[in-house]
Amino acid sequence: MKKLVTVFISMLILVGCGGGSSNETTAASSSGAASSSAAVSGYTFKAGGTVIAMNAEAQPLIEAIGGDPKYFESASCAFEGLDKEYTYSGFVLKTYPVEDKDYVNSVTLYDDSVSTPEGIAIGSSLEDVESAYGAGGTSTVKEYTMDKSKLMILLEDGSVTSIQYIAITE
Amino acid sequence: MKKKRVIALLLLICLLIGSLWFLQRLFMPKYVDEIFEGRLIEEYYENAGGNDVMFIGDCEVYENFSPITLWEEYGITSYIRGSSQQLIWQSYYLMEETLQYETPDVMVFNVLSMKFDEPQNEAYNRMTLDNMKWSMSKWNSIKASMTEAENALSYLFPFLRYHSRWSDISTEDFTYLFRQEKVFHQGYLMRVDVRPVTTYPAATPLPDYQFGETAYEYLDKMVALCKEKGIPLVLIKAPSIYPYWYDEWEEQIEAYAKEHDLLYINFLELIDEVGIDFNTDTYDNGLHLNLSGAEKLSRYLGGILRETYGLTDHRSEPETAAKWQEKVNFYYEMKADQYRELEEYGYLKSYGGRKPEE
Repeated sequence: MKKLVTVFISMLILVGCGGGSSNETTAASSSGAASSSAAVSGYTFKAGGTVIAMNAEAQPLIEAIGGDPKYFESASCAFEGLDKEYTYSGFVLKTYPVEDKDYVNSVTLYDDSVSTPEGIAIGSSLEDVESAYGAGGTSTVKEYTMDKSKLMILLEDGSVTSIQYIAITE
Repeated sequence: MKKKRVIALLLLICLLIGSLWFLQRLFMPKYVDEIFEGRLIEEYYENAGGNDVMFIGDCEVYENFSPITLWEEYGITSYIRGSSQQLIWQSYYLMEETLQYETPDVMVFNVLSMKFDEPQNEAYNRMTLDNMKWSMSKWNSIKASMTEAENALSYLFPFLRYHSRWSDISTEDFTYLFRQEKVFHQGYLMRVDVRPVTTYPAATPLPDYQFGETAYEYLDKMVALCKEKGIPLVLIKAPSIYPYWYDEWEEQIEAYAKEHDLLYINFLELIDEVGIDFNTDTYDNGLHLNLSGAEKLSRYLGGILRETYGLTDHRSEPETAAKWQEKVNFYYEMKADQYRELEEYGYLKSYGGRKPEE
């Protein structure tokens, strides 16, 4: 009988030690590779004198950029925290929340008033893109990855129609 | 002696299973004070049966349609089997499961989830899957939904996933161990507060607008299942301004609906006709409608459903009417309570609202 009780207690302990990550419930924070102290790495966009890196803490960058952007926010289906969108002249900056801070999720260039640090803008040619970033992809979709960032360039008829910097958060 | 040992062993096994079951119930999140959406799936089972219209889908159904309005205006009985970020395969398996409990006259499915072609997020998965009753539908939904980091064992034994909640266990976990307080109105999550639309989100160009094969596979399955049961399937796109609904997506759904002879209603194109005012009818800047908006939308859709499918007006049936009167009473009690909180606190403190300064 003693043996049976020992087995019983052991099984309870073993079950309790199985699986799952510590201190995380289903309502845990959303996924993210956010870093409040991230060194600038990966593909970056420059808004005036402000360098915007993916997954960087957003608030200091937004303050540095200044101006009066149009603002849109979207809550998730159930969880707390807001995805936020700041529309500036020429580009849109989107953020994602981790706990009580926002981090850069993406930057999308939407007209030719701005360009990448490598000189690519809306309307640039396929050849210019490949010269700046390399071949690969297709003639309509170019995706380049560096560290925790992705640069996605869409083209139509050999001409750039969209430039997006995207944070890799997994 | 041998008999005694066998009995002792059996008792021990029963004790072990009982303990594990109890611990599982205790450690699973109760979704009491926040993220009420976690209870959506579970609340269906005590309301199963007698629903002429079933809504299936994500938050664009459970926050945009009021079954109580459908009842009051048309005598239509309905239920919303919605959940947060419900993926299309989850919708299919919920549909399949629902048909084990009842056979509605019409199924309504919101098409936004066609944008997801692969598993997304464990947290949302759990909210849809954990409280489904065990069945092959649940098992198949789990298999289709798991992200790479998840494992099926943690769905079979949720305690493996939630044991780390030990430090979060509160009196509420014991209070709601075996019971839940009603929160939803036939699957509708009520919000009376208002946060108007001030800007419209930009459409971020996509590299590929084609819906995925998996999404189409499950939409085909839904169509086939409804056809087999003789239930009309209605496709809808709710009037939510975000996530952005691309023209290219719209074209695909229109083409699909035409090919399969399905009624498809894109409410984004009917905002004015429905009478939705994004200054007053949304509680989160246009992502979801509030009660005012949901009632308008339900009034509009109810008219279409009644006219198209000849749905029965059950208001003259004493038993049904009595049952629904309780639901109506609860609806207006909550509505009054929400308005009281708005007056007292300036936001919906107990209903997941955001403080005005946020």
